[in-house]
Amino acid sequence: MNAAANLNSFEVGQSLPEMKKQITQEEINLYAKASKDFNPIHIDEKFARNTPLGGTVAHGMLVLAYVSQMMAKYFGRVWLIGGGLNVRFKAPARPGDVLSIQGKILKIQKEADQISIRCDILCSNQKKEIVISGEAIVRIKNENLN
Amino acid sequence: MGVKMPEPAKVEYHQLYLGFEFPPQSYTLDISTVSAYLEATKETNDIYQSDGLVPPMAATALAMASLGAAISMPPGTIHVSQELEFLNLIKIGDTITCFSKISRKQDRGSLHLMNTDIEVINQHREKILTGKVGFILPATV
Repeated sequence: MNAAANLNSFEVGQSLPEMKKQITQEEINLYAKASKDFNPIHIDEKFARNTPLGGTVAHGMLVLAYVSQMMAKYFGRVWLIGGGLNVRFKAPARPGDVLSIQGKILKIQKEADQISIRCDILCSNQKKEIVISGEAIVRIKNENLN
Repeated sequence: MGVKMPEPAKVEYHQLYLGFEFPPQSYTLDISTVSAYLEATKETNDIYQSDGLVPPMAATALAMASLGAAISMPPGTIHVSQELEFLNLIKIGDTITCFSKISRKQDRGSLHLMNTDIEVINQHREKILTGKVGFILPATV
């Protein structure tokens, strides 16, 4: 699915293709550079060991970027101009974690000039602990529908 | 990263108030900036690789960076929530400007709750994203 979206391909209850991502310290370091967020809790293992977290953790926004990736992969360009997220960060993601990012369509609402697709979002680690939960919404203008 | 403005001095929590506006920060999304973001997030979607588009989360990351550069966050600060709305396509070469202001500041026991509204525009003054960031800070500040 890309430039335009086909309304008939969306159904309430439908699951979005799951994404798996393994977090590594190297990626966290790369993200720190790309995002200019050099908080030592993310990149300084010695510092992080002596905090209540007990070690480095990934930037919440890195994990949220994976959620956005899943949405963009499924909905294409319409995600970039009509996407929305409302999430809570529930637990940290740590180097070595394997994250599972999942989504499910909760509601499809037809309006005069667009449709809105609301999705349940869940990101959990290999221990089934919830890292991020919340909702995503995609607003697709009629001109972007097939 | 193409930073256009100097980073502001950090503001302490006790100096903040509802409606406090941080100095805007601008960034140019040149190809090296975007490539670094795509590599860091292992993003391989064709819409970025071939169409010269920028993931909206890359602009969000820079908006968060401008916030991080502006507020003195004590150890123990937790980023608890995030709302975002993507409104316009972002292209390689765009210059974005990030605005942020305090929309909630509440003391609750040993914690401070703080929300910040963010807004990002491009060089044409088109709004490209808006959002709200929620933080919990330890009440030692």
